[in-house]
Amino acid sequence: MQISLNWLKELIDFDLDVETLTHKLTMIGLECEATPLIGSLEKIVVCKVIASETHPNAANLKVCQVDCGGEEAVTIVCGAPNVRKGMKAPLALPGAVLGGEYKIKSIDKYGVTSDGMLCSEAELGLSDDQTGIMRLERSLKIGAPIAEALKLDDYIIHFDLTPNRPDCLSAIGIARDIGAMTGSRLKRPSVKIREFETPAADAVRVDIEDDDACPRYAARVIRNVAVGPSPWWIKQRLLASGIRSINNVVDITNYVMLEYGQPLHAFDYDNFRQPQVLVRRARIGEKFTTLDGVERELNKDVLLITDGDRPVAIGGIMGGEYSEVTEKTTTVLLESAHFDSRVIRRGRKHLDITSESQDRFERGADPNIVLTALDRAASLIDKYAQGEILAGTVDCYPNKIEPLQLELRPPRVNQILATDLSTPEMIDILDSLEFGVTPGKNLQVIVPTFRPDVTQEIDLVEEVARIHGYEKIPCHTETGGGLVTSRVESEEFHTHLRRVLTAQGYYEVVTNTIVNPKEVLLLDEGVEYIKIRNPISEDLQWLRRELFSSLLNVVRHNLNHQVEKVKVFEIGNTFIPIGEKLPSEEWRLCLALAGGDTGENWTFHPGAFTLYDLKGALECIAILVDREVSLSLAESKVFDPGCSFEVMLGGVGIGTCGSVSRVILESFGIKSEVFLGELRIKSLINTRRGPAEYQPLPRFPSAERDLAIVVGEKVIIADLVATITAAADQTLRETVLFDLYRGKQVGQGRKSVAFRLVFRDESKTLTDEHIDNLCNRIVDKLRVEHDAQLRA
Amino acid sequence: MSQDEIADLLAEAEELLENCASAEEVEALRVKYLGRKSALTAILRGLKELDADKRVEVAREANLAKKKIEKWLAEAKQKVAAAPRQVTRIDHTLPGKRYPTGKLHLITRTVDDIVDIFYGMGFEVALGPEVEEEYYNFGALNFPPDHPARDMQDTFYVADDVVLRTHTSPIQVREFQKRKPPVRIIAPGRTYRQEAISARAYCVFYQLEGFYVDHRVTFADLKGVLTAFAQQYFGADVKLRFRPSFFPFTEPSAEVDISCFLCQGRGCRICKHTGWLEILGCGMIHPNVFEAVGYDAEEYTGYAFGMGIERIAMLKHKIDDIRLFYENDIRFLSQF
Ligand SMILES: [Zn+2]
Repeated sequence: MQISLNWLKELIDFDLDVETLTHKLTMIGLECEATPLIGSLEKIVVCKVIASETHPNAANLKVCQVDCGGEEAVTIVCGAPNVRKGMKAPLALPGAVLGGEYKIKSIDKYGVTSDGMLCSEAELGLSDDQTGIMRLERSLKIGAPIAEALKLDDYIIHFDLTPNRPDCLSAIGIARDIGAMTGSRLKRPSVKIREFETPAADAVRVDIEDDDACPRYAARVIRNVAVGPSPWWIKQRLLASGIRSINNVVDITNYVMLEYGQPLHAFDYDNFRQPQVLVRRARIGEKFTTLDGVERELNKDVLLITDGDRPVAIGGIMGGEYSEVTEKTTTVLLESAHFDSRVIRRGRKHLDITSESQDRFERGADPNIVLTALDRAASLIDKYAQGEILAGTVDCYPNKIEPLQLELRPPRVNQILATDLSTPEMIDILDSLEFGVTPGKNLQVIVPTFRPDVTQEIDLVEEVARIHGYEKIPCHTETGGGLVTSRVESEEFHTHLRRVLTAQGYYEVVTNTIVNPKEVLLLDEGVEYIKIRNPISEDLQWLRRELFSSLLNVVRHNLNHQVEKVKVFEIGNTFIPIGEKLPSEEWRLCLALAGGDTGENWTFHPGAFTLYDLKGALECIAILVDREVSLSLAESKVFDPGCSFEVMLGGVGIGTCGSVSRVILESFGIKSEVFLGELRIKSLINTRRGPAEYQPLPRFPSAERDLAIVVGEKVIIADLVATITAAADQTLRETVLFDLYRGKQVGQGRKSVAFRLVFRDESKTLTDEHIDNLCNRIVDKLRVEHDAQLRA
Repeated sequence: MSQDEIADLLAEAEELLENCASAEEVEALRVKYLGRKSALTAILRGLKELDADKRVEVAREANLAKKKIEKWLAEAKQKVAAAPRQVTRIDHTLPGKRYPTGKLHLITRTVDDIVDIFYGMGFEVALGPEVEEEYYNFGALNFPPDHPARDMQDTFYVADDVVLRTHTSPIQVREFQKRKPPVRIIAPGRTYRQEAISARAYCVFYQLEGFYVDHRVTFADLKGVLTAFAQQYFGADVKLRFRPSFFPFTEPSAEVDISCFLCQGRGCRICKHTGWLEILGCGMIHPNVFEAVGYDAEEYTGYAFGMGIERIAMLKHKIDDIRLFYENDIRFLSQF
């Protein structure tokens, strides 16, 4: 919604500069800002053409003498076809700047010096009309600055209205709110109708088939109208509201709509096949061409205005092509109706059309302003298009919509707002907004029908609050409430996970939960997904069940942008359909590694990531639940068969990890190896051990022995440790793998493994002899079970 | 031991102690000259075997020598402690040895910071599902069916009456159904909007909802809690402006602006030269919401507020493209 400032000034007295006005309106809930109506019009004046002759050297140009209020006439060379002696036009003098950039200077045109330029409406930025120079009204004073003469010294106020205020889609509505904050009263235009004797009822009958959808339809018939251009002041106001001028009749309907907020429609009544209006629902498959020239297929949601035979308009939304008012029109049927907002909304959704009219009806127009607006438009048509208004209005309004009556308890207002407003203050505010108030202990309030948003006592509280001013409501910083504040356990755990992983060098990522079906199908076929019915694109349609595809996209993006070390994790939601109304939402942790350490620290050696990097992170996570991690081989579509594992914590599977299979990497367009691991956070939390129990500190010293053996490549560490543990007694406290070596010295297909064994007894100092015996037993057993050789 | 020998011992000790370079050397010399097995200790121990006249003299000499050596030891100790260590030269400009750490996502950090402030004010944390029944997302929050207010939120549907929640407000309804007042909750979470992706809009975003219901909760309490929050989060001198606005589930409703912390309210590009930044919406909980959850609107009143996390992070860090949050470029993530 945008409207001329000068128009508002005409409707209500206020003594505020434009900046203060927009600020104050914003602070009562009508957010707005002002811009000048048009750019600088300095050095553009009203002139009169006193002579016009063909240019001696150019037949298509004219040399004009114009009077612009100075002592001497000014010579102008002009190419416009409509220049005539005696006309008044805008003249841009040297120094004027048109459209913010085109600078006017004295210029030689084929041997004649032109000291300025006569301007078209387009050149002044008033419309897109550039067919000729602008014809000014004869009454304008020669030499007057054009901005003053045309009342262009105006601002456009642009409103960003909330959907609950349809009343402010009109100059009167906004002026009413200005009045509420300044205390002055609205000056409504006076409407005087001059009617002819012939009754309108003889010329048209109105029937409404569905009076829920169209509670009211009123019409007037105006004969012998002279359709032509609008007077300048109407054009100017439409211009300020961003509405194109069409002709006087159409412009007047738009003008009155802007004034009262009541959309009107003017039909060329000669194009009606029968002298009647029938309002009915469209039939499925029925077609209709709207005035924008588009043929539209209708359904039952659409309400039609018909002549009993053919549709002439889509009720409340848009008129039809062939019943438009044009220069040829002589008889006008003027419609002022009320449509139900839900019907307009469904129609708009089906047709996908928006219009000034649709917007107002959809937000909620006032059924009881219908006649006033109709009469106002008819009287303007009478005045500016010389029509003959037939006597009376045909008004079909079977069930009058009565204003709502509410009760307001003044103490309730103060209770909610923490204010101490007196009852008279509240009455004043409601009265200034044109609510009818009957004083008493509780106020009886009649809500005008232009405020469909006010339906309960609390809405009246808001009206009082906003006009009183939110800034005047106190600000309390003490508060009551309970002392128990619980946190969500899973959230707390997420915080711990984040800390551990960022400390390990992982960056947290946050990705879209809406995923690409093509991508997730690569990872997991034959499962159900939550699917969006109205996706924004083909690529974003399903809700994810895992985080793999999300993280592969992050990996790809980074690798493609020169990031050589991608080490990321996400704690994200997944959605698993479980046959109920809502899916199960399951939080998961996913880790991704690609590339390698790049030697960011001078003490480290760069190197590609391996599965052991990922396992290390899993081990850190396991510390949070006081468990140890083990991996067990498991099949998966995501991972390479040789490097695909289930992650076990305390013997329970809580997720998967591995090296992403080449097929999937290729589909995602990733060239480097990627390690992924995903854990179900709930399962992880469930493995958490209870509080650790204190173990007394050792009272006797421990003894260490290093044991280096060479075994075959296929022997796994866990088996060696198991053998060692079995061969020793309970004095063996720790078995730490501290070196793993492959190379010439140990030979092909074999590896050297070094363990540090820590022995301790809780009741005595162990003897060397005891430990040596154990070590010998261990070595023997390793030799027998794993073909292990002791390394020298 | 003769007096001459004591003199020799002293001369030797003095020289050695003077040339000590380390605390270890000093300690070795202490053991040598004053330890249990040292010559002086032996002399002092053997005193009782001497003649009475000689005993006094030797004792005096030996004690004198002991005092001297103790003094030299103390001096040597001080000297080596003050001396620079004779190890490889330290280049203090070399980076320290550490494994490079990662960082939290800016959304996480922003949510955590905001939650912490409200937690300190006595708010509890609650969460709710992202795939939500239309009833919780709209109906119970006083959005009538076929009402234009539903168009304010472009909604993803996954079934006739199941949506991806368009705001965190359904958590209000779910918590009200579970509890009795007083209820004071902060609820962060992911929300969805069916909107084309651009620099200013993303189909996924984070919101944080706060609400408080009790006897006699007023609009003044709402102003207070948000003022206290904004001053803790944005700075003690930040000013707040409450403007009437419209949300179906609050009445009266307000939009809250803070004075632009980038230009101190003078006007800049970010605040569109108004000096104010819009940061959240709020209001008194609508009686219809209470009715939907079975609270008595005459007995209880309450407030609610909601803010967009990305918007706040974007303002605070001058980020001009919301897509950066979901692109997860490590060169972006590492900046915060
Ligand atoms: Zn600013």
